Amino acid sequence: VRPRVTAPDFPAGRLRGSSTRVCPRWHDMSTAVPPGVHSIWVINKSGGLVYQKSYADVPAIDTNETLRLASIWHSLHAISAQLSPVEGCLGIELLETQNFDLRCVQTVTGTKFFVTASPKTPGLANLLHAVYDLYCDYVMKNPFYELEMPIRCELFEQNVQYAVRATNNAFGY
Amino acid sequence: ARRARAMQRQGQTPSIVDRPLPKGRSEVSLSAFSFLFSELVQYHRTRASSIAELEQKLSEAGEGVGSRMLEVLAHREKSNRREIRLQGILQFINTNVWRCLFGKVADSLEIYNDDEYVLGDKSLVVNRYISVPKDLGDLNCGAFAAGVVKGVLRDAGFPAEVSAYYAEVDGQRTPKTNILMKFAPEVLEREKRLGA
Repeated sequence: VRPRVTAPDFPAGRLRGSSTRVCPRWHDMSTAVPPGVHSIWVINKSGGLVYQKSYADVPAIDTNETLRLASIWHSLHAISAQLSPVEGCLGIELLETQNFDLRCVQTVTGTKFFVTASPKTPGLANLLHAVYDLYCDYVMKNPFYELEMPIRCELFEQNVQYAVRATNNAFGY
Repeated sequence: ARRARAMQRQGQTPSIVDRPLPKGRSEVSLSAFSFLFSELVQYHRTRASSIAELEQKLSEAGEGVGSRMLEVLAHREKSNRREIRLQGILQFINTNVWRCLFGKVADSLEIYNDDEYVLGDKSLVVNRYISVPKDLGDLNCGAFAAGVVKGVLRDAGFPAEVSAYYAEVDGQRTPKTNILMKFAPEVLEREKRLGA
């Protein structure tokens, strides 16, 4: 009798367009996930992290680690665009996991904005476009900002905070 | 303009000096101006050795704008009437110049001492997108607007030292910009002579 091999409880992933569904069950965290937006990351066109800020009670990540994660995400984004069987794919837009959602937007210049939030948070795409508008205003028009360097603009950080708070309030978080 | 029409009636095309002044565009893209101003600041930053020098350079850039503004606005809006009183020229800057440049009148005009007047603006257009880093201290790019005011005052015959600085306001996150005008003693003497 052949031994029965049970595969791990992995639901069949659907690859629709450019989003991927990943639900690993072996790390079943039952601690509460903070509601609303978790953090916002901005990556420059060469893959370096320029802005990362957490807006909820999520475990802090070491600065060097955030740099590493940002460049890994940059590579994954590029790889997914090439692997796609569909013409004109622009890379990963949405990553849904058991404990968080990640939505990413890439601009025509190659700058990537992504936000992590609790699962099924609405209004993330709008939030990302709002952050892109704020980036164009308070970072690009700031004469003291060096291109592709980490963002240290007070007005940008303030306004992103307001945008995140507005998104959380609009949906009751 | 009358001469231009007369020449046209005679069948000659009016020369450029006789044609009426064009109205001028009332609106310019804020983004375009912000990028241009950002480049101006960056250009001077590499050539100035201190914060004071950078503010000085921005102020000089503004002075050119100010003197031209005085001529154009005096012709367009005031029918070439000259302001000879201090209050008059201050009101002119407060309303006409600010409205033409920034689309709104300045927020407040106060007098501090005998010779010091302060023009306040809650959110100066030139400073709107600029966040000054900590290591540049109290640099204020509103020095450009201060330069505009200085140019107007100097060419109208009211020489003054003009500077811009930030002032905290209760109940407002961002500080408001104050433009301090310190008039030369001959201006005050003349005011006294013309009668209070």
